[in-house]
Amino acid sequence: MAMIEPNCYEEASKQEVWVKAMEEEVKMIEKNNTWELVNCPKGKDIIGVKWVYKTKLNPDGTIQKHKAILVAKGYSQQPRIDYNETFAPVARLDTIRALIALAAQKGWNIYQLDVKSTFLNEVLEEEIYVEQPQGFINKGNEGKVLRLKKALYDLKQAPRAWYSKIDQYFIDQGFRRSKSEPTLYIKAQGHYHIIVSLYVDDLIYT
Amino acid sequence: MMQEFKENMMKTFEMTDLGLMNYFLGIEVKQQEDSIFISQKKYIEALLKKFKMYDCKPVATPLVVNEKLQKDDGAQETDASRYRSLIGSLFYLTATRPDIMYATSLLSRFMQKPS
Repeated sequence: MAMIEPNCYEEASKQEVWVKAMEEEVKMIEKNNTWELVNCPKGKDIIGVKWVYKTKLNPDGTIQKHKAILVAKGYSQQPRIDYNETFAPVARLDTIRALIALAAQKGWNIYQLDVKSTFLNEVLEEEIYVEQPQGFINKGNEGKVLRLKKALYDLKQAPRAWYSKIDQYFIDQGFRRSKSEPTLYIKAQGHYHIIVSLYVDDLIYT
Repeated sequence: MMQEFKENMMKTFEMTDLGLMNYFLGIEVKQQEDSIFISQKKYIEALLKKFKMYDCKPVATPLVVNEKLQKDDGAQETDASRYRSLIGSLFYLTATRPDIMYATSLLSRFMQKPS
């Protein structure tokens, strides 16, 4: 079993589990309609991409799955050119503890949901181009680049794009956002209330 | 209403239903009939292992009584980055252990040149 996580593509491409993991990731990205192949645009920066390899473990220490993640080299993005706004709020721990305390006091149950591949869901506002990932370069189109329609991990604007989307969703659903905690939403219906707290891709509700 | 919220949510986003909350941000949550119990057992154990104190003897008081800490006590300097990392981790622990808040803040005042 390959317990050690490879550091680079050259290492990973020698092992079947990782090759399979990369294929799965690319399939997922393409299914998500994340990018399209275009000619290299003039005067635009092309952001590099990189493979990251992670072994997911079960609580008992056995291997659950091998995961290859394609990330953007977000650090090479330049402000005002490649991105504008990047801030995205997350819940404060105190809020979460207060919510737990309130639930305990009122005898409510707290439930949890988590979003699969959060950042890959939102449509980008800016024009962003990335290079084709190692191992998956389109034959005959080696010179082309990928225009991103949706975010990749580690892209500077990825978290914000996600927050805007889910925020809009809650507002549309008739939730009120807390003034002092932008990740806390409340909806009242008759005698019932739903309180939702958002922590990036995890959320709890009661 | 809850059911409706969840179903609507799961239709709009690709989500996993984790049911009753039992583990969130490194905090274990036990929901019982008339109470909710929170703890960070896993986090503490990982922390003890990281700082190689897993086999240390536990004590009931978080600080040595009547010990005065000084800017320079003549002792050899230690790894400042490791010290900061430990303090940060202890602060995260105060989420469920307010009893170590005083000790942690006190120690955090000596991050400049720990020994």
